[in-house]
Amino acid sequence: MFWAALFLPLMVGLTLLFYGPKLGRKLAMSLACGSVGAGFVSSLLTFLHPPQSPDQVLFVWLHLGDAVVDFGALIDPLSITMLLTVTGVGFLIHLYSTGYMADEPEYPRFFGYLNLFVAAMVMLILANNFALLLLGWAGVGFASCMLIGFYQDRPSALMAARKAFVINTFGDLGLMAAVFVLANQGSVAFRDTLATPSDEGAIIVVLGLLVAAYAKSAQFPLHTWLPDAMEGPTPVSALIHAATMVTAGVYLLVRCQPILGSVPEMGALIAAMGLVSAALAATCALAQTDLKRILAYSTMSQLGYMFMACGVGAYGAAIFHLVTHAFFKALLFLSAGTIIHALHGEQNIFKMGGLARVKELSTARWSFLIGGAALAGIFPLAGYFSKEEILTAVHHDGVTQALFYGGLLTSAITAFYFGRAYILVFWGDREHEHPHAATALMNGACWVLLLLTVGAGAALGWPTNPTLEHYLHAVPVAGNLGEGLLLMCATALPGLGLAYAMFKTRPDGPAKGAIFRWAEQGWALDDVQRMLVIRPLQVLGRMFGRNIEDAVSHSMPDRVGSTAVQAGSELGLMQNGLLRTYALVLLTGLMGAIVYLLWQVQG
Amino acid sequence: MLTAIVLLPIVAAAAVGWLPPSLARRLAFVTALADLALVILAWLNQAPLESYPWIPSLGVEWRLALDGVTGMLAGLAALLVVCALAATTERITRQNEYAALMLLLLGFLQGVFLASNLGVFYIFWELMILPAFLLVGRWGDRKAAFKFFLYTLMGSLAMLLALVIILFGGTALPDLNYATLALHPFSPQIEQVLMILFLLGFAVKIPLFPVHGWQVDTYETSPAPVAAVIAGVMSKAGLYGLLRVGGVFFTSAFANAIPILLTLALVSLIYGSFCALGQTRTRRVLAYSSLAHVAMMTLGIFSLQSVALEGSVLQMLAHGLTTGGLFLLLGYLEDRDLPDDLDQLGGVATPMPVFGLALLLFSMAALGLPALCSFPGELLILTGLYHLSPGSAILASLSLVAAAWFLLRFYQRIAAGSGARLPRLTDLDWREQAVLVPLAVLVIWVGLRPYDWQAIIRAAMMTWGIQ
Repeated sequence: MFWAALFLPLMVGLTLLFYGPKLGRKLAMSLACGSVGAGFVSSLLTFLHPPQSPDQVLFVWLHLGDAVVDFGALIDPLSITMLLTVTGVGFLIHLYSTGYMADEPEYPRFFGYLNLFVAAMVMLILANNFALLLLGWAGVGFASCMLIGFYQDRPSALMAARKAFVINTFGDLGLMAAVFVLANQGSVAFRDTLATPSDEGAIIVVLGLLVAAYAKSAQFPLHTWLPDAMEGPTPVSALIHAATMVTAGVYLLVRCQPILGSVPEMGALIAAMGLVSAALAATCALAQTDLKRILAYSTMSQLGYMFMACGVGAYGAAIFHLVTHAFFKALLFLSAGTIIHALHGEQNIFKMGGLARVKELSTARWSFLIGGAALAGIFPLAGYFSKEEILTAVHHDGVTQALFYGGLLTSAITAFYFGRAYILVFWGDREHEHPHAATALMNGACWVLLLLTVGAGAALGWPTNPTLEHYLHAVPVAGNLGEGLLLMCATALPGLGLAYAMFKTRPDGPAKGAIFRWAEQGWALDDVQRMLVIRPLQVLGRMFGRNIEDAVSHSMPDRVGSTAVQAGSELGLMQNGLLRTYALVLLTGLMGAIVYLLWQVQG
Repeated sequence: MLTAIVLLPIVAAAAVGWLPPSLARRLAFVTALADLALVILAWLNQAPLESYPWIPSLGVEWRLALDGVTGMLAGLAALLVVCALAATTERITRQNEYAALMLLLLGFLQGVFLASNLGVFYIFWELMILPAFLLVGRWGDRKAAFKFFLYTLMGSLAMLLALVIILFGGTALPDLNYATLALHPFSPQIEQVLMILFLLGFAVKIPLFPVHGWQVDTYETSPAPVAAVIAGVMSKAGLYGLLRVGGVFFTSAFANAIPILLTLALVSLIYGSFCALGQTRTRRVLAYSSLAHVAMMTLGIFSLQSVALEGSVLQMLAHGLTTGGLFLLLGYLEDRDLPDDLDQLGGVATPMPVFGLALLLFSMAALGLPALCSFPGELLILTGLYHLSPGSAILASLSLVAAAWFLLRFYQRIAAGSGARLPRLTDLDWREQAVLVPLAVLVIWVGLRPYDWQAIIRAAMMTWGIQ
């Protein structure tokens, strides 16, 4: 049943890549949407009728020594939750893309990779062992890379694709390291390794998992690829770089909670790193001028909250925020996509403004407003419940309250940068000529996500009735509605108020301060990475590839070789110059030597 | 039947050489195809060992055996020669000589892989050099051919010396059969000397740093189908030899030297990866990427862990498929008179979408993307290596990041981009596509169901005495 969610999008994806242009636009797009829709239905059926045994094996994939790697699925509440989120949001974004990419001549390539991505993501979620997890893990990285570089006439897009791919491959090594340790202990299957985590080598496994999770989920210091990934088409940003792929790191930590639990001292570190990412990204977001980059940093920031939750052991809250974030961030990206589409590709928020008065964009405006309010944590939207839950869990954890206050401050910054973006995009009286209208499917997808953003939080995680956490068998966080509302008044409302005070007059351009520019450049971490990692490697590469290689393989042996040939010519043995003769002479000589030696010895 | 696998291409080569060119290539293609069919049939029927007396005084018996590993390599050799001949265009002059030399190379390769006697192995090992040398020299570059020849000669002399020591070094072996060698207890000193000599012989062919100098020139200058066969199969002959010698014959000497050997392979791996990073010519990227990949397989063999040995063999198959495929694809570009400079290429996938997808498939497979053929082998090698030396495994795995960089760059610089500067291009025709189909199918098959292949390798290695 659930295998359909893997194989249908996979088959359709490959078909589109190879035969897409022959199918015609309508059929290609229907197949793409249909297969992901069917994947969602099969996930829904799996949710309603979960299989008897959680472990479902198709065939043996590999033997890593004694560790047998099955091609098999693990169907439990966690994977079903992820499956529903990924195929559900994926289906909506596929529908949206049919409108967004309507004028794109290379639509088969777009939908082909989008489908491959969904298949790889489903593989990642279904895998019942670490080695197979790697298949999906690297698969989503590959599909993401091909989609970031979709507009291939832009060198910056190709560069961004390569950057994402390389950093993600580095992350894959973390997961591989975990596989090395676990395989040498006899099993890589979740049912063994998670049921009885071994203390031996656990620290390496945990570090490996963290490297993998940080790279995939764009967490500091492996986050630099995510802002650049916005080079891809906006539906890609919505699906991959907001709702699904980047949350894989959180899924991994939640999945591996028994292993994390065996090294309890790592918890505080994970939570602290989560806050670092959350705060760092939020400060970057408030200085961006590109609408999509604001959302990219905001994604990184929200993922930081999820990692904080994992650090303090609130795994249920992490998944809850993962799900609500998938809804409201996809909504934000899709509405941003509609706006960018309408303005013929304009992404600078200072060149927008006045869009509230454009009739064609009313759906986008409501979507952006509601999605952003959910992001800022306004009651009773989805983001409110899940973020409050994480903050409550951090508060109750009691390791240090610094994390809690840091989280609150970040929350205020979040509200501020959303307020800034909203005012700059929609307020004011700028005129726009011929805005490109969104199709019904684009608006429809936004409306469904809008409903989910409004309703899902209260339905899945009302403080006294946390449905999702009961379903996941997670320890619920004892939240309190009154306290939560108080926190909202202390953080989100002042943030929004400050944004109103500062931007109600709509300045024409971004602030000019040095700190501001520094934040816009992501605190120059890109440059640090370039100086510390890329440069030295380039220098070494040049040294090896040119200087050393030249000496070892060219100048030295060539001199020896030409001396030998010259000596041969001077002896007058090879004057006719035919290569064939050279060869025969050399070979005959060699064979003669062999035969001679052999006879010699025999006699 | 096994004898036929070896002799059919050699005998046919004699005939092909005298035919008119166009007929010659067709006959050679059919012969190679028949050879492939013979390998598959022998494999399916589990053809028994064949043994005839040859030079008894030297312990040399005409002794051929086909098991999972040797059969797989023989099949790879035949398949790549079939593909190479099918991909050869009219641009190659004197096609009768060319086709005859390709067939000779195939026959000698089959001799190397199927031999079950060290003497037979050695004879074919030496013979193999001749057609390769002529192919590189006549249709590629003379200087490169000489370099290839001189390097190989150095390795061959070392091996010859080793053979002489085995025969007359007071070891009193009844014959040179593999089974005898595997069981014979050599004295530690002799075993160590033999290890060094064989290592030198195989290191040139694999190749390993610092004796890899012939490789770049050869891969860069020879015609693409020839490069596909040399890079795809001939390098595997060296690795296969190393596996026999290190994993079976002189295991204790190899085991004693593990730290040195691992260092050697690691240096080669890192060296190849770094060199590949900065290359601007298509063939050179592949040459250095190959250098890194074969170093990874060597690392697996040197670790002497059965998991890693299985991985190395699986990787030999995978590397043969990807490198073969990539060189053939570059050949298609050369047939269309495109430059080999990465800075001048770009956007080829727009007029040639099928080519673009094929290039993507083979480059992704080569860089070890999971679900394609190289990943399982790498995972096996590194898992085995980790057991022995966690540090080496981590260091070696970093090469995968480098590979991701330079192979994705390789793909993007050729296929992606605007392509505004390119002449009018036509996509691959049915013949060009058909050549790639078997390779692509195997790339995906090995990646999706690696255990099908691992089980075969494992069973064969058990019979060699590797547990």
